[in-house]
Amino acid sequence: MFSCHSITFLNVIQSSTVTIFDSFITSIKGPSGSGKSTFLSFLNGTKSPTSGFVFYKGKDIASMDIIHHRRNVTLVEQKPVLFPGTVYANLTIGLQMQQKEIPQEKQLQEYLEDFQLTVSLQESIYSLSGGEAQRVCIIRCLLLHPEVLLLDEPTSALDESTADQILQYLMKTHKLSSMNLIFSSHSEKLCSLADKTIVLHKNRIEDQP
Amino acid sequence: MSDIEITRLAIAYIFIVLLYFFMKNRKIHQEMLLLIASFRMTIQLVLAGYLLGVILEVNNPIVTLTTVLLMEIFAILNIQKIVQKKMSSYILKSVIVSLSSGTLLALCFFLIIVVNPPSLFDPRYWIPLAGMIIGNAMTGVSIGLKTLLDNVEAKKDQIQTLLHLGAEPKEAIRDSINKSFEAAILPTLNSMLGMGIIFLPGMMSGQIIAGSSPITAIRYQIGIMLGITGSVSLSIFIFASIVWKNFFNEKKQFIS
Repeated sequence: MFSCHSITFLNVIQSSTVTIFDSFITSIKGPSGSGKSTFLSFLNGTKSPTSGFVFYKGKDIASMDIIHHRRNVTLVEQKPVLFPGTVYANLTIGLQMQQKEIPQEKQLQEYLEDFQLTVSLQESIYSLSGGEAQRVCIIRCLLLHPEVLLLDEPTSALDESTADQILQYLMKTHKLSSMNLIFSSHSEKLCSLADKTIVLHKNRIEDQP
Repeated sequence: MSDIEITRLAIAYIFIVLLYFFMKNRKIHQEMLLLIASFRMTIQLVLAGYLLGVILEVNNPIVTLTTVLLMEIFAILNIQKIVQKKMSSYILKSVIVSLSSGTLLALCFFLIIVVNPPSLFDPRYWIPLAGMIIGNAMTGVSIGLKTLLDNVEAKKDQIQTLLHLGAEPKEAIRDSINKSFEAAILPTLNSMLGMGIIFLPGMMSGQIIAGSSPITAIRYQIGIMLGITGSVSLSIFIFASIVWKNFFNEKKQFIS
């Protein structure tokens, strides 16, 4: 699905060839500041490597319609970013941007329940905790039904039991749909759930079976 | 109209002296700025008066248009000073294009269609009207630019998130652009609201003191207010339409 060739980014990242396979759950492991977030940004084209190439389905991202690519490969950032307004407005903002059909409120409410959120759709985002905000951000991207969902440290703001439930849900979604999952984490436990792990170690990216 | 005697005008500086001692007494350390500002205001206005006298005397279209061009250049340089932030070359180009095209379009429209002076390039009309139109557009664009830079800095995470969600760059920055437009146009709209009730505008007061009938003065004032609104909105509209590209590269990535 993705293949990266000789990518470098300033003096933070260096790699030879990294391959991310279709239908796999892939984790990117590495300590804080090792460039995990930057690497994820390369995959959806919101950042570019200083040198090297990133291919998606055999095509160089640099030569693709980048907006179309970002709509296929959506990134959930580590720090949850919400917009002033209600939970509903935040869940649907991506759909509005992509001019996609907005699901009925009942369906949105079901998503909230699946993610153990007890908030109402009309609630202001200012009343949400960090963990709740992060889950709203994940749902917001899931609603877009991307081909690939990139998650940057998806459970960093969640307690262990909520994190487990969210992961179970994401695994289920991965199995039921064709959506690929790529997430970054420094948690051994989380990375063990992936089919493949890419390790960022001492500024180098290494493939691990 | 009776002229103000120099000695009587000098007495008016008593307010500056009072303010100086007030600042000194209250330890408000802006005394030097007060002195420099008063000095510069006096020198600049005296020079402008003599220069205007020459321009009116010469009454040459090239001299008139050169003066307007110089006013535009000073306005652009002033925007750089007001914003107090490092401007990229693209922002500077956006300021130059928007301010000059917005003000010149509004000025030409106002002069040719609305005022319709007996002589088209009469500096008596061009210079004061250009001063008002360029000055107000300069304030509008500088407020708009400052608001935009502050807003983009404060909302960089949201802009980046919208890009992650598949938004076009122009869509991702739309909110900041709209806020900048609002901030830029608000002083002009507020001044329209208060005009004639809270304050009498300078141009109208000047015309009345100079002996014009209040009705004539009002006609000019309404016209110039519409011209100012037109130039400010046109300048800031053009500015907003082009400046957003400064924040993105050719790969549609956000560069904060």
